Amino acid sequence: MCPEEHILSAYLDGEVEPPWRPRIEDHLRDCASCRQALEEMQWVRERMRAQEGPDHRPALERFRTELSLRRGLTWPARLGFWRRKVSIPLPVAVLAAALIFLLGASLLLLQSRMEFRRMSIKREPSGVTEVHVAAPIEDLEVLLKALDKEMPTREIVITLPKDSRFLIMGEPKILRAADFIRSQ
Amino acid sequence: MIRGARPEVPAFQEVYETLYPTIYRIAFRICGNQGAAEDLCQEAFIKLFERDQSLPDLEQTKYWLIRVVRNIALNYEKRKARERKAYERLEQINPRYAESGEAQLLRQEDAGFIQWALDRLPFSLRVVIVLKEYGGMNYREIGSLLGLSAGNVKVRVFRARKSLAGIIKEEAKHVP
Repeated sequence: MCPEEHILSAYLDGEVEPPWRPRIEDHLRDCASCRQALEEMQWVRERMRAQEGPDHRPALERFRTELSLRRGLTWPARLGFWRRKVSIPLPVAVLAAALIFLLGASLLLLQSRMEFRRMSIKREPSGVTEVHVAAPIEDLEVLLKALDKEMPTREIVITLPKDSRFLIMGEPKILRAADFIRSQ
Repeated sequence: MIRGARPEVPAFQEVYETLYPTIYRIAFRICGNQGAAEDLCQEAFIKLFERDQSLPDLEQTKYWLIRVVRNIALNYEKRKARERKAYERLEQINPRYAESGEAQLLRQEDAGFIQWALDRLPFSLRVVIVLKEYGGMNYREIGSLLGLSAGNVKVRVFRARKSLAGIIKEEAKHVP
C-alpha cells in the first residue's frame, strides 16, 4: 500500500522517523507513481531554491543610516582588509607554517644551485674530452662557486662573449698559487 | 533595552548585522515585494530596539523577529487582498487592464516566477513553506514559532508543494 503523499514530502525533508526510512525507500523502488509524486515535490523544491531573492544590502544600509540619524545608534567601525582578524584552528596553522617553511627552504635550495645545460661533447685525437656547457650567468661569483662545487678537479676554460665590457675595480693583486690555495 | 550588558546577550548592532539578511529574505518571500519587505524589516527591528527586555541569544532573537514579521505581513496581506479585489473589478469594467498572453510568457521566463506562484498560495501555507525553504527551519522549529504541531507543519508543507506544482503547471498551459 502506498504511503500518504505528505509522508513522501516529509521524507524529502529528512523528517521521517528512522525506522520508516528504509521501508519508504523499498516502496519507492517498486512504485512508479510514488516516485513520480516525490520527483514532482523535489522539482518544486529545487525551483524554489534555485531562484535567488533580491539583494538585501541596499535596504540594510539605508536602515542602518536611519537608525544612526534618528535613534543615535553608533556602529562599531568596520575593520579594513589588513586589520581584519581571522581565526584558524591550531593544527591548520601549524600545518600552514610547516608548508610555508618547506616551500621557502626548497626555493632557497633551488636558487643556490646553478643549472648547467650540456651543449656538446668533443673528443680530441689526443685523448682530451672537451665538454662545452652553457649556463645563465647573473653573478660571476656564483658561477665560480658552482663550478668549484661541481667540477673541482677539472680544468675549466671560461669563454666570455666578445663584446663583454669589464670595469677595473680596485687594485690588482698577484698571489702565488700555493698562497691562494691556502687562503681558500 | 540594555543589550550587551551580559556577555552572552548580543548588542543590537550585532543582531542587526547578523539577522537582517535572513529576516529580509523571509519577509520578501512572504510578501513578494521588495519595498514591503524593507518596511516589514524596519518595523520588526524597531520593535526589537524598543523592547524592554533583551532576548537571551541570537537564535531566540531570530525566532522573535520572524514572528513579528509574520504578524505584520499578515496585515499587509489583508490590505493587498483588498487591493487585488479592486483590481479585479477594474479588469471586469475595462478589459485593457487584463494581463496579455505575452505578459504571461514574460512572467513564466522571469526569474521572479516562483515568487509569483508563491504569492498565489494561501498565507497559512506560504509562511510555512517559506520558513522551510528560505528560513532553513525544521518542522518542530516552525511549529513552535507559529504555535502549530510538527504534524500540522508537515501537512502544510506538503499542501504548499502540491499547490505550487499545480499553479506552475496551470500557468504553463496558458503560455502560448
